Amino acid sequence: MSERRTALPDAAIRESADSVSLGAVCHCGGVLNESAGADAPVVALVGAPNTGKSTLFNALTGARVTMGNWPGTTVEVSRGVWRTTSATAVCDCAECDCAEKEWKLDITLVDLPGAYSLDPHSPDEALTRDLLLQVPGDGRPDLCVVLADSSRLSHSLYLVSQLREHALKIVVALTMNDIAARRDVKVDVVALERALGVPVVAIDPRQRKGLGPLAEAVRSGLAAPLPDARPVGADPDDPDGLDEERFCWIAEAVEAGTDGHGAQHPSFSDRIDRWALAPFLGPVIFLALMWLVFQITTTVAAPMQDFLDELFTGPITDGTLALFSAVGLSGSWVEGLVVRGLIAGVGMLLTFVPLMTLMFILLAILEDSGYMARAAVVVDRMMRAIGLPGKAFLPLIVGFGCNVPAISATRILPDSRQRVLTALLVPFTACTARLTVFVMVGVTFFGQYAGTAVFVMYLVSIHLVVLCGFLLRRTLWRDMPYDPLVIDLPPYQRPTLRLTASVTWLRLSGFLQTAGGIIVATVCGVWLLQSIPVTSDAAFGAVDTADSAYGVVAQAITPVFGPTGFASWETTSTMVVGFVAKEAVISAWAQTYALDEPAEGEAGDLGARVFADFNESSGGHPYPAALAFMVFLLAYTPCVATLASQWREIGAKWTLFGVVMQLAAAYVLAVAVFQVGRLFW
Amino acid sequence: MPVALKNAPLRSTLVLRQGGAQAELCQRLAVLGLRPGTAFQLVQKTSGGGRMARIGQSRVAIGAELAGQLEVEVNQ
Ligand SMILES: Nc1nc2c(ncn2[C@@H]2O[C@H](COP(=O)(O)OP(=O)(O)O)[C@@H](O)[C@H]2O)c(=O)[nH]1
Ligand SMILES: [Mg+2]
Repeated sequence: MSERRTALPDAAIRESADSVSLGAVCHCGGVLNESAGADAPVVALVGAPNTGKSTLFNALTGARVTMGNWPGTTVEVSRGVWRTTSATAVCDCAECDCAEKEWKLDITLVDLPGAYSLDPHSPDEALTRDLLLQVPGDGRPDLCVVLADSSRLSHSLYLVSQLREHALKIVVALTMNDIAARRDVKVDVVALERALGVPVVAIDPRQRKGLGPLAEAVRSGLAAPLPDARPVGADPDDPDGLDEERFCWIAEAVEAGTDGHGAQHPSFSDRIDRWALAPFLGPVIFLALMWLVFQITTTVAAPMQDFLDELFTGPITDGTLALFSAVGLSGSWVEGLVVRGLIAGVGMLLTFVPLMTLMFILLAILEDSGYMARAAVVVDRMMRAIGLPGKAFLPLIVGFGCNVPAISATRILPDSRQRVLTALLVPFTACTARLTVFVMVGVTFFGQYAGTAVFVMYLVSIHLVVLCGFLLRRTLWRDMPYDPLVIDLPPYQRPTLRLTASVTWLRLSGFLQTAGGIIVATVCGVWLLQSIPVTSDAAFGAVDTADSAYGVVAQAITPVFGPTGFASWETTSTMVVGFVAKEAVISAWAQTYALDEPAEGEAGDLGARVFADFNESSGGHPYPAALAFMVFLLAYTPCVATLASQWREIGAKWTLFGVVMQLAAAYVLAVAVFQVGRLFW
Repeated sequence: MPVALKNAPLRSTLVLRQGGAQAELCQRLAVLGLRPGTAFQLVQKTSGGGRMARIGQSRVAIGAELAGQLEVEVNQ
C-alpha cells in the first residue's frame, strides 16, 4: 500500500543527470523485473480527457504497472514499463549481445491525468503542468507523447500548442482514427507533422495498432537533441493575444492536416442521444441502467459470495482443523491464528472478488461504450444540488449494494477533489450487510413495524449523504471552484472484450494488492486481541472473549455510550466486530450470549436477550435505544474492506478523516435519537 | 440581437458573444471549440435543462446553469 504509493515518483522524478543521454545505457539484456530501472528514460502520456491515454498505457505496459496516487495528492498516476525493440541501435557498448534489428529499450511510461491545457483548473491539471514544466530539468519526463483525437483534432491541439512553447521533446499520437474515418475525415499525417513541427504517429490503442511506429518515433525522439521552442508572435503578458495566436496556429494545422468536413447528417450517436439525453426519457433510461448495475452487483454476485463464504467457513476451516488435530495442535493458538485469523481474513477478502469483478466489468462497459459521459449529463442537475457532479451518482447507488466496489467506482470522477468527497460520502449509503442487522434489530424491537424502521434507516442514509456532502462542501471544499458542465460527448461504440477484460483485471489486482493486506491484518489483529488473556489466567488463545484484551477494550469504551442508551458490554463488543464486517454483528452477538444465531428474519432467543439488555442499559426506554443503535450502525465505519478500498483510492489521511467524521456523526446522531426519543417513548 | 444560450432556438446558426463566463471557463470552452465568433448549432435539449451543441464534428453537452450564462447572437 504505502510503499506502492511512494514508489511511484522514483522513476518519474529521477535524480541522475547523465542518464538522459541514452547512448550510455545498454538494455539489450532486457529487464526481468517490473521496473524499468532508475536510469531508464521516462515518457509521459498527456492529452485531453478521453483521448485514449489509459487505453494506450495499458496496451503498452501490459501488466507491468503500478497504479496509485501521486504522493501527497489524490491525483491518480499510473507508471509502468514499456518494452520497446527497435531496428536502430541505442547503445554502442562492446559487451552488447543483442540480435541485429532487436535492440531493446525499456521505457518508464507515466499516464498523467487528462488535461485540456497547461493552465491548471484542477489539482489533476496542476500536477500535469508541474511535472512537465515546473520540475527542474532532470526530474521532467524525457519525452511527452501527446494523444490527440483525430475525430476532433482541434480540441486536442491546444495542449500541443502550449507544450510547443517550451523546449520539450514531443511526439503526437493520433487516436480515434477509426471514428474520424467513419466520418469521412482524412488525416494527412505528413502535412500535420510539418504544421505542428513534431513527429505524428497514427495509432489505435484499442486494437493495439500502430504501436511499433510509435515506439520508433519515441526512440528517435529520445535520441535526438532537445527541439527549439515554438516562437510565439504575441506578447506573453497578454493572455487574449496569446490565445488568439494559439488558436490561429491550431486552425492552420487542422486545415493543413485534415481533409473533408465529415458527415453533417445526424450520426448514429446523435440518434441514440435523442433518447438517451431527452428531458424525460433520459433519466428513465439512466435509472433503468443503474437498477441493472445494482441488481447485478447484488443479486448475481450474492450466490458466488455465499459459495466462497461457505467454502471458507465450511470445508476449508474444517479441513484445517482436522489437519491441526492430526498433528496434535488442536485448540492451540497456532490453530487459532491460522483458522480465525488467516483463513477468515483471506476468506473475507475473496468473497469480495466476484462483486468487485462484476463491478469493474460493468464500469468498463459503461465507460467504453460512451454511456458514462451521457449519465453525467442526465443527472447533473440533481447531483449538483448536493454539490457533486453527475457521475458521482453511480458510486453512491452502488454503495447501497456494497460500499467496497462503490469506493473503487469513484475512479470514474475526473477531478480528484470530487473523488475524495464522494469516497467520503459512500460509507453513509446503507449497504446490504447493514440491512441484515437492521432487519434483526427491527424484528426484535419493532415487531410488525420492522419494515418501517428499516425504511427509516434508508431515509436517514440518504439524508446523511446529502447533509454531509453539503457540510463538507461548505467547509473543507469551500474553495472548490464553480465547475459548470461542459463535456464533449464521445461517440457510442461497442465495448471491446479485450479492453474490458484488461481494465477489469488491472483494477481487480490493484484492489487485491492493497485491500488484501489491510483486511487480513485487521482480522488477525482482532483474533490477537481476543486471544490475549487479561482478566483471567487462561492461556493465550484459550481465553473467554470477556476476559481477553478485546473484552477489556469493549468494557472500557462502554461508558462512552451512556447517552445513547445502548451502553452494555455485549452491545459495544458487537460494534467492535461490526467495524471489521457488519455481517459479523449478529454472529458476534450470539457468541457473546453463547446462543445460536437466529434464522434470518426472526428474533429468536437472541432477540429476547438483546431486548432485555437494551431495556436495562436505556433505563426503560428500549425503543429509542434500539433506533439509536441502528442509526449508529448505519453511520459509523462500514467495514475494514471499505477502509481498505478508501485507503487505496484517497490515501491514509483522508481515510482516517472519514473514520473520525463517521464516528462523530454516528455518535451525535445516536445520542440525539435516544435523548429526544426517550422523552416520548 | 443577443440572447442567453438557453433561450436560443434549436438548429439555428449561433455565434458566441464575448464575456458571460469567467476567463478560466472561456478557455475551456474555447478548447472545445466554443470561441467567440465561431458558428455552432444547438441540436437538442437535454434532461436537467441543458443543451447539446454541435460544433464542427463534435457534440458538446452544456449544463443548464452555463446555458443561462452564455450569450449568443442568432443568425437567421
Ligand atoms: N474508437 C476508438 N476508441 C478508442 C480509441 N482509443 C481509445 N478509445 C476509447 O476511448 C475511451 C477513452 O479512453 P481512455 O483510455 O479512458 O482515455 P483517457 O481519458 O485519455 O485515459 C475508451 O472507451 C477507449 O476504449 C481509438 O483509437 N478508437
Ligand atoms: Mg485515463
